[in-house]
Amino acid sequence: MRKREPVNWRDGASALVLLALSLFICFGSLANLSYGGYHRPGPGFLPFWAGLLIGLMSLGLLVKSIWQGGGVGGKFFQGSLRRPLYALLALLAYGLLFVILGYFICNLLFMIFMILLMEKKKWYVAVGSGLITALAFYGVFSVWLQVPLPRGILF
Amino acid sequence: MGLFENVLYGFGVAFTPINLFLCFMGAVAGTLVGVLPGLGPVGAMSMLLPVTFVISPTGALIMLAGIYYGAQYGGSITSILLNVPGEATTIVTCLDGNAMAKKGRAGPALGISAFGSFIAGTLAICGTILFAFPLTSFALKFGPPEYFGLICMGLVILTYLSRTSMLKSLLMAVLGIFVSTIGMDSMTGVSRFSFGSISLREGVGLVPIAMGMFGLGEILTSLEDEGKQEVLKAKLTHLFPSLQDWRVSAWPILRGTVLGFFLGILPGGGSLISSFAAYAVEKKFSKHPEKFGTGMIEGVAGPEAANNSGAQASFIPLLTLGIPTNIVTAILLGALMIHGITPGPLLMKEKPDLFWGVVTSMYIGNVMLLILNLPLIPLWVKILNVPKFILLPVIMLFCLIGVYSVNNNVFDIFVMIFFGVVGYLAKRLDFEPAPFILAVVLGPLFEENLRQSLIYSRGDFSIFFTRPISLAFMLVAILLVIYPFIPWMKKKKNPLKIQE
Repeated sequence: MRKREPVNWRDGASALVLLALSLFICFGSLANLSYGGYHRPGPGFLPFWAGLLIGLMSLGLLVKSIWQGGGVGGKFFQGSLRRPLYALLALLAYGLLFVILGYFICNLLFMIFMILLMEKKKWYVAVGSGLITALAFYGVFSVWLQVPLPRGILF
Repeated sequence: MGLFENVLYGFGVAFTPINLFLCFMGAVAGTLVGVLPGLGPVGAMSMLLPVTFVISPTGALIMLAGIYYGAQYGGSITSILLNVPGEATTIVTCLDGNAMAKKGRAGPALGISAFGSFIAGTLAICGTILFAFPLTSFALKFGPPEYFGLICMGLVILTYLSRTSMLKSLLMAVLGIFVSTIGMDSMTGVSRFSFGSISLREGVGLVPIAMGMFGLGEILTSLEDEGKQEVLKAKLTHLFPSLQDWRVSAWPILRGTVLGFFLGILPGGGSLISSFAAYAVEKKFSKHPEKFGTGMIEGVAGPEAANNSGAQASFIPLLTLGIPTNIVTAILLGALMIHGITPGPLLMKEKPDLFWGVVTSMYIGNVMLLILNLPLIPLWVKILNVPKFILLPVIMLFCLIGVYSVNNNVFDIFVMIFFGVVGYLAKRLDFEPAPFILAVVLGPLFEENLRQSLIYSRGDFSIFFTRPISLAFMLVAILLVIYPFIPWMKKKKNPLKIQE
């Protein structure tokens, strides 16, 4: 008797999330937008059908993950999750403080945090590298390209 | 104007100081991006999109195109010297290129790669010039059903050729179609899935999505690896291939050029599939196929010619039909639309400076790359030793500032972060981002042509199957979708499918 393949839980979980999304899209399209009709498709026409197709394909993926299996063991994340999570937090903080503190200070703080996070270097290495990078970005974006960026509290 | 006069006009446009400078910048940036594993031409083009706002559309396209074919040159360097493919399109070059390097023949490998790419690029540009006119005339017969069929075919071919399962790639493509509908409907002005947000009412921009999925997503994946960065060393002597090397490589270069050119024109095509197909062909033609992988120069010459030829040829559908056939040309389409230009059959007539300027600049760019690449190889290899703790945060800052500068809207930063997480999770869950991005770019065209076709036919779907050109496109798309479900066809291995 053929040995049953382990369930592919990654595909299964993805399928369930996408199935929920497809229900949201379909109901949202029908409830809030005009479907129109085949002779005159309205704004809800394509979103509805896209949602329906996503739902059908997600069901297919769910069935495939259980029936065909193909699940592999091992961790979901290959390495450590610590650094990507911290980087994500740094990115979110950057977005929240960008307009308030200005791009120069945000660039400096971001570099310092990332260097300390990545390599656990001495603080003066992080501050020095951060300053050089922030100044380089200032030179390129503000002086050379004259891109209007929020100056914040510094300038 | 005749063909020759148009080409001369194009050179006149390309040889202006600003366009020459932009071509150079694109070629250098592309080589740099090609050398660095992880950051591809798509990520680099996405990051530099905001920079193109301050320059003309012609200059923008010249620079972005330079990044694409520059990356083909750059990727070969690390493939040959370090067995680390700088780009997916140069994976195949690792097989025999690095084997040559280990035998002390890195120089001839790099030399034939650069010269082969240059010859292929030159011939492909000639092909582009010759094909453009007839293809444009053909495209003038296209109406909404034909465009809809072509877009369907393009999306399906890309999903068919993807590394992961076709079901997952199709899912990503349809998700991309949905994301493209977010914002104001162009036909009725109704806001869709914007949840009352003024920013979302304008839609989800291509730049935050592309930068997020291809830039941030890759970086977040790289950050998982906490291992020490290896210092890479490479030895290099004698850059020029011998006469014997040229004798052996001549036919592979020509075969690679032709194969790459025709595969590059196909939707879903470009340099990636061209390089793999060329390697398979050279192995088939060789008198000693068993020696492939041990340092056969044909295994470098053919794929390298094919990937550059494919890269050049993939511009043809974009510039003549206005349809991008792969993710890179999708980004270029996005860039043109940001500049208010919709490429299509009339582009050659309405914007001859852009069309001929870009085509001729590709030749100039190839010349620059040939001159730049060989002497600067030690420098490119040194860049690989820049510490990751400096390089990765700097790239992230480029992404953050670049995405903000598009609309001066902080919201775009959060959109980019969101899609960065999506890109990161997609990689972990084995979903390909390329069909998603292509669908986001093509989504508005897809919807517009679908709705126009149905209005014209009063709701009759047979319009897509009764017009011959549209029927041909739809049949190809349908066949590729049902192919995985046909058992007797499934038993045959697909020679074009990209394998790990």
